[in-house]
Amino acid sequence: MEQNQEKKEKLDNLVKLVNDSEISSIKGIVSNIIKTINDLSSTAKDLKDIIQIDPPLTAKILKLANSAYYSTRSKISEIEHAVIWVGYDAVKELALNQKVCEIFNRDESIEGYSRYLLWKNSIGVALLGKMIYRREFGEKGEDIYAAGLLRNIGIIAEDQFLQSAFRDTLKTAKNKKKNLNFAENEIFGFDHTEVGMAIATDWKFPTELIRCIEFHHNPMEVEEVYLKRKVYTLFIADYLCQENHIGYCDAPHMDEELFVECRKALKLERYALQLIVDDMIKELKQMELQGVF
Amino acid sequence: MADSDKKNDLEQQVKILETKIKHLTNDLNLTRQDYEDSMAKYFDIYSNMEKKVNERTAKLKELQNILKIKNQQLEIMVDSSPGMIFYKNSKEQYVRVNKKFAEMFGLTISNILGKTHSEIFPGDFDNIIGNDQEVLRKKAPVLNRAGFINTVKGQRHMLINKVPYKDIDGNIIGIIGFVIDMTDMYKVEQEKNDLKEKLVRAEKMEAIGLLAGGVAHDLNNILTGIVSYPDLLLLEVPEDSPLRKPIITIQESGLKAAAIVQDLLTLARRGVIKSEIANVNELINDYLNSLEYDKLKLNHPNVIVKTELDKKLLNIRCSPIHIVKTIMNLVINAAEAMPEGGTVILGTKNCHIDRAFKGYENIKEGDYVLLQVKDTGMGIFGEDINRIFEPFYTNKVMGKSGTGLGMAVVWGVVKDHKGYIDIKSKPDEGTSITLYFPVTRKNISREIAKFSINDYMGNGELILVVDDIPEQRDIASLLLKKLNYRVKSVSSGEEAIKFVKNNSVDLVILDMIMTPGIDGFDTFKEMIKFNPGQKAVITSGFSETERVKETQKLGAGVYLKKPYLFEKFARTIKNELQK
Repeated sequence: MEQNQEKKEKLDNLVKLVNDSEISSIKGIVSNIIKTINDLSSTAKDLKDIIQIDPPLTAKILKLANSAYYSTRSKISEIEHAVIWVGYDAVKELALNQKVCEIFNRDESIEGYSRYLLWKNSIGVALLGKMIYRREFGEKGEDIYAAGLLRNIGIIAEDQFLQSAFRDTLKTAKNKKKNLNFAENEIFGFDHTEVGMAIATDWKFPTELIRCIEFHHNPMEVEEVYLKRKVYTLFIADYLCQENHIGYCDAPHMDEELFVECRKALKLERYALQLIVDDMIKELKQMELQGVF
Repeated sequence: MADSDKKNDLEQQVKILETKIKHLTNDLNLTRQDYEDSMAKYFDIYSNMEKKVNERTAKLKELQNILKIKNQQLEIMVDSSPGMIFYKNSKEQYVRVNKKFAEMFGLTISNILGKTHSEIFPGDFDNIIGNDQEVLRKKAPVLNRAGFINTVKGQRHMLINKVPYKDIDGNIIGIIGFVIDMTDMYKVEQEKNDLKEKLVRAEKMEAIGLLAGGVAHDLNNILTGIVSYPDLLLLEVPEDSPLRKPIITIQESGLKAAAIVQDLLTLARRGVIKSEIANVNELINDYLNSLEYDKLKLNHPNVIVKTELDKKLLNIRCSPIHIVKTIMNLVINAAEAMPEGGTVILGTKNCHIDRAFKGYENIKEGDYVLLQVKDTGMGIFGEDINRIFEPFYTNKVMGKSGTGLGMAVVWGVVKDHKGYIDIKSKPDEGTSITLYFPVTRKNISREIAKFSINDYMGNGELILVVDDIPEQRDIASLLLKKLNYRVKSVSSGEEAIKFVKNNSVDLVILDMIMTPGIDGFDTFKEMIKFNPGQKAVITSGFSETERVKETQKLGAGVYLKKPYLFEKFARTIKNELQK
């Protein structure tokens, strides 16, 4: 009990540090984009209102909308036009990418970790999660995209505010040939899922997103039935990205059993997933060319 | 490869293809959904935009309308302004002028726009409208500058406000001007001042008149003695007596004094003017044969007096003494205006004015006899001309000559004769004063009937003299006794009433003004209550007042003016008794 109390204090403290830092600058916009994702009656104007209050984001979105990838006929100079041309959902995704990307900016590579690699991994998982949803379930999977991007926000907070201790966890995980959360628990007394959950709760993210962050390493523990598919899919996407070495891997010692269990539960065939992964890798390359990361 | 393997392999490939088809179908469906969503949103946005464009267009149209109306209002205001308004650009070219502006210069607006003032008026641009140097130099408004501008209505007195129109950096990009024509206002102002001055003058005359009137009453009473006793004395003195001449002189002096009193009364505008038919030519000759003229010639040896008289001159109804006096005053003034000598021309002519005209004063239509006195003197200077008729107004050394009343008397006389005065004067060229007297068509009726005392002798009738002044009573009594009347004299109205009640009186000689007690009017009113048809002659040294007229209405006879002249006195009494 006392241990829990101490952990809670530590986590609260960390959240406070996050809220006082630049990381929190993404809070408003990211929250609002996630809200429009969950609100079926939201319109292009709502999205425009969210984006236009952030001039660098507006500039980035317009730059992307005007890039060769979308091959515009005439120059797009308004978010509203970008929404029409690029698509409502694509603009949401772009905005989310841009905003989340901001917190992965400073780069430094330690023990196979760098923010860039972590970011690449996040994008990969988000993309793959979304593609599985679209192709296997015939659904848009926008919230799983957000979950993929934000599931490791706890690592960012640790990196930024626990600095040397965090580097210790990276070393420990490597030396002991363990996954990162094992080392985190050993050194901090909590892991990045708990940190991420604390931040997401504080930022009043939707419950599904908080649950996805909380259970992305142990999906079987999620209790809400309606969340199972999302959490399982996120785990599967995470597993597949690690398997394909996309970006930083916090869990190189993969739990194949858990993967199979999730796959079975969602009736996803290995070969079907492989088809999606192949396309995901192509698309990720495309995004890399586009300058998303 | 075993068949089963092959089969498995094929089955596997089919599975993969099926999965691919599934994936593609799902993706396609979602993409189509996305596309449809986007389309829906696109139309949303598009229709929204269209609505917005329509809204904005409507608003813009409304604004344009308001602007148009405002502009029209401004145009109307600018063009209906009674003042001249203009806007020049930085090159001093007219960019906008209002109707009044163009109208004042007799040009069309299009003839003005785009040109500078000097381009429009090459010979007349250095004026308050054309010259912008001050406002350009000061870079600040120049207000209430007055000046004269030549317009189609002649030279006008203008007041101008010029305001520089500046850009953000303070450079002048234009000049806005407002010009008001003040000519009429100044004129009205001038007229107002003139009227005020006239009023002050009239009040001054009135005050002097009151004073003169008051003095005249007493003087006339005193003069009665000097004028009346010589007549009595002459009756007593033998024809060859050496005293006759001095006595006549005394009487003449008294008469002259009486005339002066008459002048004062004239001045008081209560003139008891004796109206006779006379010819101005004769009156001029009378003057030229008078002692006064001899005296003038003595004082001004270098002054020549010439006459240019119209032989067919019409008569006027006038008081000859006053006209002569007027001639005399004018000639004296003319002579005094020529200290180095010169010529005075006395001229007369008949004149018909068929349209009223404004000379020195407004002269009305009618037939007039003109009397003109022209000199070659120094002339009258500016302001003086408006004031020369004021009593005691003079630029001559006071006391050297005259009483300061000369010209005032001239004015009074002319006014009493319902005439007009015109003056033309140029400094160093001389002055000409023209008097306009209304013509009369009657012939001279100045009968100088040979006076014979026998024609007026009484038959012992009882006559009551009522006068508050003892000398007056004595003179009247003496005169009456000489004329063979019985006389009773009393000093008040009350005594007179008492006497008439108890005695039958043939005639009452009743003084109008008596103090203390009731006046002539009240006395007579009381008398006729118990004695209707009582005969009476009213006398007074004062003017013929309303009170006198009222008394006459009650039945009293003639009004006999003091001082008493024996002949007139005798005739009046006789006539009244014979009525």
